[in-house]
Amino acid sequence: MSKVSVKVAKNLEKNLGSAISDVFLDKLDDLIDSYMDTYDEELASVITDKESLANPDYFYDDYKEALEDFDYVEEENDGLIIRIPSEDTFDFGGRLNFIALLVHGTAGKYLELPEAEHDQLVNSKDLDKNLRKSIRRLPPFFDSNTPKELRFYLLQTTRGGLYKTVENILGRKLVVFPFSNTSSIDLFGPSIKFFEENIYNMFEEAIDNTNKRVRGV
Amino acid sequence: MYRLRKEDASVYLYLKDLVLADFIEYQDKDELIYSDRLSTDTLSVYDIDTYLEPTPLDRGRGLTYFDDLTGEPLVCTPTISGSHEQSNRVTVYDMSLNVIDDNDYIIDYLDGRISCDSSVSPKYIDYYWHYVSLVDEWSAVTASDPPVVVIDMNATEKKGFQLGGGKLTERKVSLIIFASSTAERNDLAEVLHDGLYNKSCPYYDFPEGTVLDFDGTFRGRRYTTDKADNIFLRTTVSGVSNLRFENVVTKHVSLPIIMSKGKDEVALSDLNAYRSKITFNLISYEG
Repeated sequence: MSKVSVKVAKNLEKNLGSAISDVFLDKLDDLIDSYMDTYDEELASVITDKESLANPDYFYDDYKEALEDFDYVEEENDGLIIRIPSEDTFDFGGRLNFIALLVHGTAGKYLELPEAEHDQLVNSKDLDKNLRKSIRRLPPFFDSNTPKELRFYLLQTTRGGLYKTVENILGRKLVVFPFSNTSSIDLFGPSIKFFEENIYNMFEEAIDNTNKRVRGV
Repeated sequence: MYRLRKEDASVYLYLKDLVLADFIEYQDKDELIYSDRLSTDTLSVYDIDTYLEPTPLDRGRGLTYFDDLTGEPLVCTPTISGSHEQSNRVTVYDMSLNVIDDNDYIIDYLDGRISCDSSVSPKYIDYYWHYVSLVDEWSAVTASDPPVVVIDMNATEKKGFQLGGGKLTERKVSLIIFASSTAERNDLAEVLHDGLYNKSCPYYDFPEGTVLDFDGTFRGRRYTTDKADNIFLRTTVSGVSNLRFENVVTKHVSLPIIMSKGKDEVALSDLNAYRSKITFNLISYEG
C-alpha cells in the first residue's frame, strides 16, 4: 500500500473511532436511563421495613452517580474500547457493595446494625474482647460520604448467635435486611440488551457522519 | 406438568445422577433406630442415626436411588424403557448382620427411612448418598449445610428458528454454588462446567412423575412387592430436541459480607464465603 493510502486509511480509522465515540456519548443518557429504569422496576416491589437503612431509595443517587462516572470509552493507540456497566465491569466499591449483594443474591438472614450502635458496642469496655473483635469485623455498607444516619453494618443470624447477644445488649430487635435470602436480581441485563440492540445503529450513524465529514458535506 | 417444570426436572436429574456422580459418598453400618412416632400397627419405620456432617438427609441430598448409571441408556430404547431402583447402593442388615432381602422393605430416599412389616427387624444400614445438596429454589439454600448448588431458571425467550413452523426455546439458567472451602468450590465449579460444556441432556416427559414420590420412595414402589417390576420411565417429549447447554460461563463470586477467618470462624461462618456462579443458555428446538 502506498504511503498516501496508509495515511488515508489511518485518518479514516481515526475519524471513524472518534465518530463512534461521539455517537455513543450522545446516547449515553438513554443508556443510563435504562439502568435506572431497571433499578426502579426490579426494586419497587420490594417492601422494606420503614426503619430499614437498606431501602433502595437511599442508594439511588449513589448508583446513578456511579453510572455517570463510569469509564465508558477508552481510546487506545490501536483502537477504541467501549464498555458498559455489568457484573464484571461495574465498581462495587464503597457504599455500592449493596448493589453487589442485589446482583449476586444473598443466602442467609441478616440484620442491620446502625453505625452508632456498632461503634458503641466496639468501644464498650464492658464487652468481651472477642465479641468486640467480631463486631468490628462486620461488613460496612457506607462510605465517608454517606450521611451518618444511613450508615449500617450487616450482622448474620448464625447458629452461633452473635446477633442474639447484640440484641440483648442493645435491648431491641434489629431490623431484618430486606434482601436476606434473596436470589440474584438482574440489574444490568436489560440495559446490556438495550446496548446490544442499538450498537449497530450507532455504528451506521458513525459511518454516515464520517462519510459526511470526509467528503466535507 | 408443563414444559418449564419438565425442563427443570430433566436438568436436575442430569446434574444429580450423572454430573455430580463423583460426589456420591459411601457410609457403612449406620444404626437404624425404630421410630415410635412414625410406626403404626402394621408398619415399622426406622430412622438412620448418623454422625455425618453435612448430614446425608439435608434437603437436596438423600440416599442414592439408582445404581451406577455409567453406560446406561438415558432414553428409551427398543428393549429398555427406563431405570430400575438401585439394587446395590443400599444394604440393610439385622442385628446379626444378616442382609435383609430388599423386597422386604421400602426406602424413603429423602429422609433416610426404612419401612417394613414386623416380620423383619432392621438394625444397620450401608448406603451411598449425595454429598452435594442440589436444590431448585433459592430459599432452600439455608436449609442445608454446604456444599449446596441451586438451579435458578430466570428468563425464557421463545422464537421461530426455521421457515414455517417450529420454535426455539431459550432459557437463561444459573447454577449457584455454595461451598465450604475454596478447594471444594473450585472442584464443584470445574465438574459442573465440564458436565455442561458442549453437552445436552434428555428432555423427559415424566408420564408417571419424577423418580421419587412425594414421600421419598421410588416411584410406584409402594404398590409393588417386587422391586424388579418397577422402573422410572425415561420417556422423552416427542418432537422436541434434547436440552442443549450453550454459552457456559463460570465465575467466582465475591461478596462484601465475607468474614475474616480466625477465632470467630464458628460464629461468623457464612454460606456466602465460597461461591461460584455458572450461567448458561438452555436451548431446545420443537419441530
